[in-house]
Formats: sequence, structure tokens, C-alpha cells
Amino acid sequence: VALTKSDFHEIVDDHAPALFRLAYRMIGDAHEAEDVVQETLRSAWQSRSRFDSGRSQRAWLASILRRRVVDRWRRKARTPSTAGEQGIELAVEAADPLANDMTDEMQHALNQLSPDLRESLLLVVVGELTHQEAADSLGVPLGTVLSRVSRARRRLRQHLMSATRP
Amino acid sequence: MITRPAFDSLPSDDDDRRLHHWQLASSLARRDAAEADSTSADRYVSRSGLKEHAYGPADAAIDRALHTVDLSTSSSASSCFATGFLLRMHELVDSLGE
Repeated sequence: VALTKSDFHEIVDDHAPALFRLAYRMIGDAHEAEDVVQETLRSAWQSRSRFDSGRSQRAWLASILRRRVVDRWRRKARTPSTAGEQGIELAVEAADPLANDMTDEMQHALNQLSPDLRESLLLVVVGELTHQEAADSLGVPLGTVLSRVSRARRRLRQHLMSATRP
Repeated sequence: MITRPAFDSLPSDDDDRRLHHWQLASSLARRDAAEADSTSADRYVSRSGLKEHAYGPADAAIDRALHTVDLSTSSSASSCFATGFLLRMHELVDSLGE
């Protein structure tokens, strides 16, 4: 049975805030993040007949959102390019955290991670997917995601610590 | 046993809270680094039930910081954004065709 509009209103309440956080951390801009969440909901609505009720709604939506972010980056043709297995490059480029009110130290720390580490970490921690769901979404083995998330947390911690030392 | 931390639905941090998160993350990270292979770190168990890796307080602080999205330097503006965001998403759903 396809999802109804009533189901989608519940989806908004249950998942939209997390989708926004995920999009924001991937893109680094609140307005673009909201646009991506809207595109994600539209895409999900159009493909709702293919939704497997046995699958996690969050994992389904996060996978759609990830593709929308990749599409956005392809359209903008920014360099380095971000697609597929190369992962997603963050939009934050300014070194000064005060240069943009929408950025914070964590966003800059994330930018220090390689795309595959960053994307795995964001799907698991911010998107709240299980490691297996993230592995399925990224098309990599479970062990790869486990390793990436662990390394990403460690490197973030190292980067944040070094940034706070006088 | 440490389980996946609970988070606010859509954080609306003001500068004080942001600073608090930052200081917390920094202090916990330093402590964790000083206690390499800390015996207090428990095993993190995901929703899939897999034992995945040592998940200590520094990891929890990192995760909290990742969840903290600064939308504005004003907490009231952030709160308005969060409320408006959900309203806009519901309006979008209403506008979707069959």
C-alpha cells in the first residue's frame, strides 16, 4: 500500500528535522539545506509506490537526500567534483569561522575529513541510520562503514583539540 | 552500557549553548586523549545490535556537537526558523499532487 499524504505529514514530523541537519552538515548552508529537504520529500512522494514497508523510512529518505545533494553539486559543477563513490565535498571553504554565521567550528572540522569518512559519519550520527543502513546506502560493506565512522570521530576529535590549543 | 544518545529534535543553540557544547567537547576530548584506551569506555551497541567500537564520552560529545546546527546567533531567530521550517514542510506535503 502506497504512502498517503497523512503518512507524509507524519514523515515530516518524524524525519524532517534530522533530514535538515543531515543536509546542513553536507552542504553547510541552511537555505540550501531546506531546499534539499523539500526536493527529497517531493522525490519520495513521487516514488512512494516503490517504498518497501519493511525498510526504515529514515534510511529511504536519507538515501534520496544524499542523491539530491550529489545532483546539486553536479549542477553547480563545483570542484573538486562530488559524486558517487567519491562522496560529497562540503560547501564550507572559509577558514575564518566568523566569516559566515551559518558555519561553526564543527563544520570546519568536518571539512578536514576525507569525503568518504565524512559522509559515513554524517549518515550514521546525524542521519541516525544504522551502520548497516549507511553501508547499504553507500554501497560498501558494513565493516567499511564501521571503520570509517570510528576513524572519522577520532580525526574530528584530533582536529577540534588542535584547534582549541593556544 | 552506553546507548545511542538522545538529541533535541532541532537544536536552536544560542552562543552560550554553543560555547558550552564546544567546551564540553574539548574537555572531554582532552580527557579521553589523556586516558588512551580508557577502561571506562563501554561498547557502543547500535540499533542493529552489533557491537561496533569503543564509544566513550568524547565520542558522545562529538556526536552532540554534530547534531548542534547553528542557524543563527539569536536563539529566538533559530526557534522561529525551526517552527517555520516544519510548517513549510507540511505545506509542501499539502501541495503535492496525487
